[in-house]
Amino acid sequence: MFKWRTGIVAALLVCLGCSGSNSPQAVSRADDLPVPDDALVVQSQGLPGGTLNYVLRRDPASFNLVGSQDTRTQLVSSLFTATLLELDRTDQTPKPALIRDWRWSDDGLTLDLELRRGLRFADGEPIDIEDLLFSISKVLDPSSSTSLRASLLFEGQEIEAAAVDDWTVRLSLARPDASLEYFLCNWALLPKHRFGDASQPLETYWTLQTPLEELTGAGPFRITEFEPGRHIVLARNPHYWKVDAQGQRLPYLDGVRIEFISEIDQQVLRLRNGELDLIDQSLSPELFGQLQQDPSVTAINAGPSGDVVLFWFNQNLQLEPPADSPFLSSAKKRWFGDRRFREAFDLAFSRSQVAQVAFGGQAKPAASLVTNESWLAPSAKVPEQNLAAAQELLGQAGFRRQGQDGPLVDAQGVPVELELLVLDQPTAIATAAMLQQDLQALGIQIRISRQDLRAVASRVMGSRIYDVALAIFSIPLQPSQMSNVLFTSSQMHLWHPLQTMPATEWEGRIDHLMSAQRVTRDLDKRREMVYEAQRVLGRQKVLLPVVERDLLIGHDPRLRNIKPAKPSPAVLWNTWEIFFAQP
Amino acid sequence: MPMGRFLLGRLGQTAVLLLLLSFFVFLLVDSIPGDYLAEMEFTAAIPRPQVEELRRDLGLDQPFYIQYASWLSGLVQGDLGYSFAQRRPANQLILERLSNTLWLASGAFVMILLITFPAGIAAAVHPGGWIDRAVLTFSLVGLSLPSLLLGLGGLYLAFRSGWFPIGGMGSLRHLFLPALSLAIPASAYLVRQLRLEMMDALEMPHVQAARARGLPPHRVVLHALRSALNPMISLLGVAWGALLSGAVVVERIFGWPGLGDLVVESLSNRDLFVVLNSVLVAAVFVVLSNLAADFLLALNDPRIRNR
Repeated sequence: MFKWRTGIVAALLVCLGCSGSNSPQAVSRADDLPVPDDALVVQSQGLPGGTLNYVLRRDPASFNLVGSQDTRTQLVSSLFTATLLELDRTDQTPKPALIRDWRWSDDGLTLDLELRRGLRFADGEPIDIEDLLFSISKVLDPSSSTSLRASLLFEGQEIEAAAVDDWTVRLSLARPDASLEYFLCNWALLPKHRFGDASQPLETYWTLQTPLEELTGAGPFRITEFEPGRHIVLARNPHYWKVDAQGQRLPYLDGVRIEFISEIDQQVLRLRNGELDLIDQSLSPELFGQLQQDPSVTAINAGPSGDVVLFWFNQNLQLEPPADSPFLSSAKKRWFGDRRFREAFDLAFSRSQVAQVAFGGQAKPAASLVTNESWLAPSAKVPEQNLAAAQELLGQAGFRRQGQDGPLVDAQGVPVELELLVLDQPTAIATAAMLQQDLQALGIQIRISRQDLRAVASRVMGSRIYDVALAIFSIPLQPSQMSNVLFTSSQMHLWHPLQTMPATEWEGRIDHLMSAQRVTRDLDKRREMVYEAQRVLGRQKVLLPVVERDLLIGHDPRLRNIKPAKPSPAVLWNTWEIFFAQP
Repeated sequence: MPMGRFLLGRLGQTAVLLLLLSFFVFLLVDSIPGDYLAEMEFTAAIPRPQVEELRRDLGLDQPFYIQYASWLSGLVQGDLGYSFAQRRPANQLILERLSNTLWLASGAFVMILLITFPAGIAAAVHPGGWIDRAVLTFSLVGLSLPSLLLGLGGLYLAFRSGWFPIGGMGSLRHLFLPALSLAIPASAYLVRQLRLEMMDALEMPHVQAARARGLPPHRVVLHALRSALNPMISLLGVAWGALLSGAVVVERIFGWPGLGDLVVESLSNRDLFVVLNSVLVAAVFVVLSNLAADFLLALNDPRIRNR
C-alpha cells in the first residue's frame, strides 16, 4: 500500500521536475510521525531524501556539546542535539528553538524560559521541564569544569534555576548578564532519562565509548554508527520538532555520513570524484582554485570567516630569560615596551599584499580584532603601508640604519634581529614570509621559527620566552566571548596572559570596559564600551590584526540551502533545511 | 642449538630491544615542546586552573623519568596507558588501527608474492630474454620510486579513471591501490633477489643432475626453487615487518585508518601513550616476523635446524 502511494508521489514529483518548476514541492515521508502542534515553522522548501557525505579531518574528542569545545565535537554534537536558543546567522541575534519564548524582568535579574510543548527526543521519550532543569543544573554543577560554566559564572556571578510552572524555568542572577541569551545558543538540552544518577561532572558523559543508543538528543539526526578513525553515520530523527512552510517535518536529508580524512588534498579529490558532497575545512587558496575550475563542483567564497591572522609583541617584560637565551633580552624589552617601535611594525605591513599573495585574494585586510560588523568600532581603519612614517617613528625612538641599506640598530648600537614564532600552517608561513620582507625594508631582520600549535602554545602560555609571534585565530563574535583575549587575567591574553593585576593602565581600562559592558543591558551603551576597548587596544599596537581569511567551501551542485555564515559551524548550522535538488 | 633455546634467546634479545626503544620514544615525545593540554590553553576551551588540574591528573606535570616509570609499572600490569585525545584506553585504539594496518599489509604481501615469484622465476629461466629485461626494468623503476610518489600516482589514477575509490577503507577496491603502492617497491627488490638466487640454483649440481635425468622443466624449476627459497624466506620476513612499520606514508595518502596514520596524528596531539605503544607494537611485529622467518627457514632447511 505504502509502496503504491510512494510510487504515485514519486511519479508526480518527476512530472513536476520535468515541467521546469523551480520551487521544490512538499513530499511527505511514509514514516512521518504526527507533527507536534508546537513545532517550529521554518520558512523553507525542499525535497526529502539523500545522504549528505561530509568530511572532518579527524574524530571528534567526544559527543558532548557542552563538555567539549573542539570544533569537531561541536559540529557532530550539533547534528544530534538541539540547543535552548539558536543564533540567527543573518543578524547574529538569538532566536527561539527548544525555548519558544523568553522574558527578562525589568531589573534584568531573572529570565523566564518557556519550553516548547509536545516535543520528543530522538528515542521517542517526551521532552519536559525535568529535562530542562537537569540540563541547566548539570552545567551549573560546581564539579563541572566546562568553559560554558566558566563563561556564565564570570566574576562571581551566581545563577539559580527553578520551575515556575510545568513548562517554564526561571533563571535568577546575582547581576544582569547581557550575554546570557548567547550562551543559551550553545546550551544543549540533555535527556535526563539517559543519564542515570548523573553524579559525575558533565564533561565525563557522552565520550567516544558511550553506547550509541545513549546518545539521544533533540537534534535533526541521531547517530547510528561510529567507527573510530573512519566515519560517523547519522540517520534522520523522526521526532524532530521543526517543519517547513508546507508542514513537512524536517530535516529533508535521510542522513549524514561524516568521513574522517586527514589530508585536505584527498578531501578535494574525493569531492571532485563525487565521493563527498561538501567540504569546508581550511581549504587553501590553491585547492579552492582547483575547485573553481571544476564544473562538477560548486565553489563558494562565503566572505570573511572570523579567522584572523594576528601578530603580537611579547609583553611579558617582567620576565628574566636565561642568560644565554637570545629571546626577550633587555634590549628587546626596551623595544617591545616602546609604542613607537610597535607602531612602526604596524605601518610596515602591507596587509593588502598579504591578502592578495599569501591568501590568493581569499582574505581581506583586518582593521580590528573584532570581526562582527555590529561590534566593530567605526573608527577602526586598516592601516596603510607607510615605510617613510615607520622610519620616522623608529628614528624618534632612537633607532637608525647602519649605512644606506644596512641593518637597523637601536641607540646602543644593538641590531634589531627578532625571532618570529609562527604557527605551522601554509598561509601563516606565507604571511610571515611577506612580513619578513616588509620589515627587511626597514633594516629589521626576522628569523621565522615555524612550530605546531602545541609548541607555540607552550612558548606563549608556558615559558613565555619569545620575541614576536604570528598565528591564525578564530575570533568569537560576541564581546563577552572576546573577553578571553581582552581580559588581562585570561589565558588567551596573548601578549601577556594570566595577569593577577593589570600590568598597564590601558589594560586595566580594557578590563573595566569589558566587565561593564557585560552587565549593561542598554545596547548602545554596550556598543560604546566595546568600541572604546577597541580604540584603547588599537592605540597600543601590541596586537596587530593582519588579515581575516575568507570562508572557502566546495559542494555538490545539487545541494541546496547551503547558507554559510559565521560562527562555527559556519556551513552545517542549518542541516535541517539542506536538501538535494535531485536526491 | 635446540629450537626452544634458540627461540628463548631471541625473545630475551627482543625484550631488551623493546625496553630501549620505549625509553628513546618516550624521551623523544617528551622533548617535543608542548603537551596534549597546551592546545586547550591556547584555545581557552577550559579555564587555566582546570587545565592545571587535568595536567596533574594525567601525570603530565611529572618529570620524564617518573612518567616513564609509571608507564612501565602499568605495562607490567597489562595497562598500556590512556589516549588523551580520544579519552579511552590506548590499547583499544591501537588494536582497532592495528587490525586495519594488518589488513593493508596482508593485501600488499599477497601482491608481493604474486609479483615476485612468477616474475623472478620467469626471468631466471629465460635470462636475457624479453621477460628478463622487463623484470629488470620493473625492478629498476620500482626501486627508484618512493611509496609517496607511487601513492600520489595511485590517487591520480583513481581520480582520472574512476576505477577505484579515492582513499578510505572498505571493500577490496579500496585496498588495491594502497596495497599496490606498498607492494611495488618491495617486489622490485625481491624479484631481483629471487632472479639471482634462481639463476644460481639452476646451475647447482643437483639441479643439473635432475635436468640430465630428463625431469620435466617445471620439476627442475621446483628443485631449484627449494634451494633459492632460503634467502627469500629471510627477505620476506623482513619485508613483512617493513610493511607494518612502513605503511605510514601510504596510509596518510590514501586516508587508510591504520597504525601509521594514528602515530602521525598522535604525535601531533602529543598523545604520548598512543605514540609509544603504537611504535612498540610495530616493533614487536617486526621482531616477530623476523622470528617467524627464522622458524620457517629452519623448517625448510634441516641443516639450519641442526646447526
